[in-house]
Amino acid sequence: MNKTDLEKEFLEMVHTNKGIIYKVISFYVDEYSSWEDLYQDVILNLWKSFPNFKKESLLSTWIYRITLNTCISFFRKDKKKPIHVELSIDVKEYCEDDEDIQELYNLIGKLGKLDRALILLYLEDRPYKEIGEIMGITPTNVSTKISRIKEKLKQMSNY
Amino acid sequence: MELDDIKKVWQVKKTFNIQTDEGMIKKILEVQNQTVLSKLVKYIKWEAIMLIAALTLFCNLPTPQSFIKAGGIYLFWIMLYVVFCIGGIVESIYKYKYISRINFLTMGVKDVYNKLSKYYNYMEKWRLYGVIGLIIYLGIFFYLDSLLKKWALIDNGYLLIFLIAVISVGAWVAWLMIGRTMKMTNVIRQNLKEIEEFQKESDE
Repeated sequence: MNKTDLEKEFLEMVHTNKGIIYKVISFYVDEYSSWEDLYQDVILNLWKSFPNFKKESLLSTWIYRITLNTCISFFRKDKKKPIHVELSIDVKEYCEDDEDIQELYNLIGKLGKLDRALILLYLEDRPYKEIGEIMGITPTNVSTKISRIKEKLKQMSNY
Repeated sequence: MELDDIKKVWQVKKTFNIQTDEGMIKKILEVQNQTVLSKLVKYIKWEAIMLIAALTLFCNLPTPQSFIKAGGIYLFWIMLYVVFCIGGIVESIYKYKYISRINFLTMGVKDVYNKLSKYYNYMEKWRLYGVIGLIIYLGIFFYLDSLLKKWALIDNGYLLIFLIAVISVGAWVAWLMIGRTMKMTNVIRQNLKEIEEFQKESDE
């Protein structure tokens, strides 16, 4: 497959799965990383590993894994923007649709990065086996951890 | 707040109106900015190149040459620098291998987070120690140089001004580094604590 075909296929894939990418990023935007930084890094990482993606696992598993790995590894020490490509993203748009979801976003901001990943995959209704594959833990562990995070969120929302 | 109720809302209502067109993605691919991992690799490569350059250049300067000829403690002080540089180059190779092994495609989120947090922790800690060590090293280096060249006989006033300038710059750099490092190490410490708890629960 030549580069143009590969790029075309990649663009189609990103377009079809943009919902996944946006949702993951929305969970990790914080004082150290902006939408633009994360989005660009995610696209680049997806692009770099796209030729190596073997259809042994689900496409969604692959996208979740790369996107989450990119977001959790983002660790900028200063707020200088090294880049370049301005994105037309209205950050407010994604959290103004429902009060509960807005509250959820407020609470997940207080959770650790791994817990955030688990909650996101849970909300996305991914099977425990797939969550385990993405996270690198067993399905039993996924279940235990999700129950614990649910409890944690419940307690946090009561305060 | 019940997460199960939110899940239902999330499934139904959670849509994103953000517009990203193909042109924008193509532009990102064209610009080919570096990812977090490739930036780390680039930084490590530069570090190794700088160490090799510093080693070669420093050993050929007149003052270190005079130290080598003088022998004894002077020679030891230069050898310490050589050992530090060679150690740094070996460390860079190790760090390069460590970062190169991180693969977003095959590794789970937990392992990537664990490896990177440990790397950042190591880097933040040793960068601070490195700067403090360098200031001490250079301080003693200039002291030995003054003994060798009998600076004190030249002018005590100039020597005092020089010492004050070195100490002031050193203190300023250390202060800047400590403030920045403290902030970052707190974040990293929280990440490591999270991983530890996560791991503990998995073991249970």
